[in-house]
Amino acid sequence: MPNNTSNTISILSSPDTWVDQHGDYLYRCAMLRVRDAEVAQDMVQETLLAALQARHSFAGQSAERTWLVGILKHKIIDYVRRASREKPFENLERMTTADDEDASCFGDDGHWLNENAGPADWACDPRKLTENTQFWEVLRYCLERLPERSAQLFSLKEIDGVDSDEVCKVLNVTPSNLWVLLHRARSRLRECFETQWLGSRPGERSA
Amino acid sequence: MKMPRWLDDVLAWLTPPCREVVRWASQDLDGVLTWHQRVRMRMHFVICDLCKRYQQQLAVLRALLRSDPERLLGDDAQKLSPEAKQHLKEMLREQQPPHD
Repeated sequence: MPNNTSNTISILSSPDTWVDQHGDYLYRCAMLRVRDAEVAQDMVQETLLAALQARHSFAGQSAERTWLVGILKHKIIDYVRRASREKPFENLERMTTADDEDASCFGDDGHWLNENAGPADWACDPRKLTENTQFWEVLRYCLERLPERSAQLFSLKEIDGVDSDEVCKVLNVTPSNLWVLLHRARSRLRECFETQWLGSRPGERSA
Repeated sequence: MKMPRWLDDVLAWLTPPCREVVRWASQDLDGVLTWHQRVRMRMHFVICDLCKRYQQQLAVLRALLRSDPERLLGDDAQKLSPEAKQHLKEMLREQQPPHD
């Protein structure tokens, strides 16, 4: 950066370095949320451009990467908002009344069909899961298998902690539809995790 | 502790079916259950280990998803291509004013 003596700016590295040091990370952040390589790349580009415009306001209170990720999240929210206007969730009305996909687990009386239809024992201490590399791989694998729109909604709400009112506005859905969509996403994620996790450690499955 | 059979029946009658309880378990994470729904859900857990386990697993997944963003992304996964990086750098140079 030529002729640059300002303190606030000197804390930031040069935009070239942003690409080298944070580009892949920002790209993975975007991929987890939008799923599409081209869109994710656009998100990174928009983020770096916005960062360049806003670099005077970088106060140095957070790490450079945290600052960039913050900008990226806003860009992703904007993208999801646009996408939801162009292509609203389909069949939502029917979905709220229709039987859920997990209906096969339940009998006519609404109770679990039998012991095997319900959740299995994961046979592990949840507090130790985070130390396990395989755990993160399984979790990522299952997140990647959520349907695209469902993944957008789920990651905004559950990973980024965007509050429900905001998520409803961004996705252009009613709160009751949001609860249904979240229930579905959680239910799928839970089931996928269980299958993959227990499948990957057959010897440790509890009887 | 084994509960008397009649108490099981009363609780089953007072609480919603499992299909409903799993929905409530999800909604509880979003803080939208009423207090009486929550009480009925808790009563249901007394007689239904499967629903209780379901609810605990949802809570574990939620906590873990937020616990470590860096590890959630992994480090060996997708990368920008060298061409994409070059393109980004050139674009940033073009946009950067020569004098700040």
